[in-house]
Amino acid sequence: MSATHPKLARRVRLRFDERDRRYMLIYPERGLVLNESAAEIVKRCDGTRTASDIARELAEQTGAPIERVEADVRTLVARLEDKRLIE
Amino acid sequence: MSAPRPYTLIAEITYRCPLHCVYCSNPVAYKDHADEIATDDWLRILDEAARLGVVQTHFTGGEPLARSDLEALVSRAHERGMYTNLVTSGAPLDRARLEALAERGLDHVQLSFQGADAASSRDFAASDAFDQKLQTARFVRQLDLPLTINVVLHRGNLDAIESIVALAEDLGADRLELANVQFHGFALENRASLMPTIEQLDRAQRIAQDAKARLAKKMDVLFVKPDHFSKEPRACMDGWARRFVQVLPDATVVPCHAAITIASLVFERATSARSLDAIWETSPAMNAFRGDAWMPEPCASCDRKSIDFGGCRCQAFALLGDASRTDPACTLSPHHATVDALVKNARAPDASPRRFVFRGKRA
Repeated sequence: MSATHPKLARRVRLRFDERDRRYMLIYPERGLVLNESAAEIVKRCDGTRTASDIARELAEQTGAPIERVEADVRTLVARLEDKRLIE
Repeated sequence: MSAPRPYTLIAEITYRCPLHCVYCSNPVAYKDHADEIATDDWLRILDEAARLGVVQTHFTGGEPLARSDLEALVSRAHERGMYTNLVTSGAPLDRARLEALAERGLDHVQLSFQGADAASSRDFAASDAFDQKLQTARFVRQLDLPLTINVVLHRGNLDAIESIVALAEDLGADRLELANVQFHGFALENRASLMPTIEQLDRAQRIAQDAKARLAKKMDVLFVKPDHFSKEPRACMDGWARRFVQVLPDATVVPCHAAITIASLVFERATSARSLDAIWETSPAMNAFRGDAWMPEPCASCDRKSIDFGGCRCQAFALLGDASRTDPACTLSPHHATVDALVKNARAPDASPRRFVFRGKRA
């Protein structure tokens, strides 16, 4: 079952990498580079927003269709949950 | 060639340690590098590491808590945006220090156990620290710091793997690293007593896989089959001087914990006159096995050379006396029989009594 209000697992940090100008997730022994749209989603996984809240915000911001954005958000959150990076 | 970007700094800040582990990865001659540099030197090295692109620092040793300036070092690494990891034995036990470290931005604690009971700490670390380790684990969880339990596996504790998994579960660990012993440092000295049998390993691997599946939502379980028992060599350090940079207590810069044993290389010390980044980029020892130009056959034409990077240079040196040979753990190595013989000759777990050299207990 996936979290209603996704947030980063406690061992995971989101970091902006000045050198390569991109966001990455860092956690013990590993790192995961995020593309721009994934970073915008992960930034909002703070335990106060639902996936729908995040999708609504991003759709408003980018003008992209809400259905597509929401599908993207859910796919990414599920992938990160599988890695236990989001809980 | 231009130097790759290291993402991880392994800061071996001291060789002092209350434990005497028989598989300690510190070089057997660790005392040659035990002179400790000052706080300011470490702060400078951390700045230089950040400049090189390091995003994660492991504070390790020895026992890193033995240095009273650890808080200042964690602070600096945190200020530089690094993920900070304390790799500790859990002794000395000190909740106040853990709390201070958490306040300074410590991101993660990796705590070692020798097994699942007090006897394991006595048998393999000549230490009564087991209860302190348990208490340290509880403090870590009370402070809401993420916790990895690390257990080096070998012939003497592989059969206790169920209890080890249960211990990590009880302690509320986020991760359990079941690290099969690699034969460097003191583990190489004690190889005959540490070498598992293939039956032990296969059984432990099955149990670890079951635990991984069962605990998927709660805890990461990592179990890597040791290279002596695999077809291919391990991608040691993700390649020589590629993703990891390590600094010893006396500021000697190496690509891994065992490289200092390679007698044909000269490793430099980071000083105010010769920076970590300069050494990383230009030191002949750092460049000795970067890329693939150094590779002999069968590595040079192998389609796995960008996957395992030719395996472990230190192992080639330790077993064959030449760091530029193909890692003998690889089944394609012309010298694989050396490793094969070690594995086949492994004694049953209850055979002849163990005879260990304990780190720091030798005259």
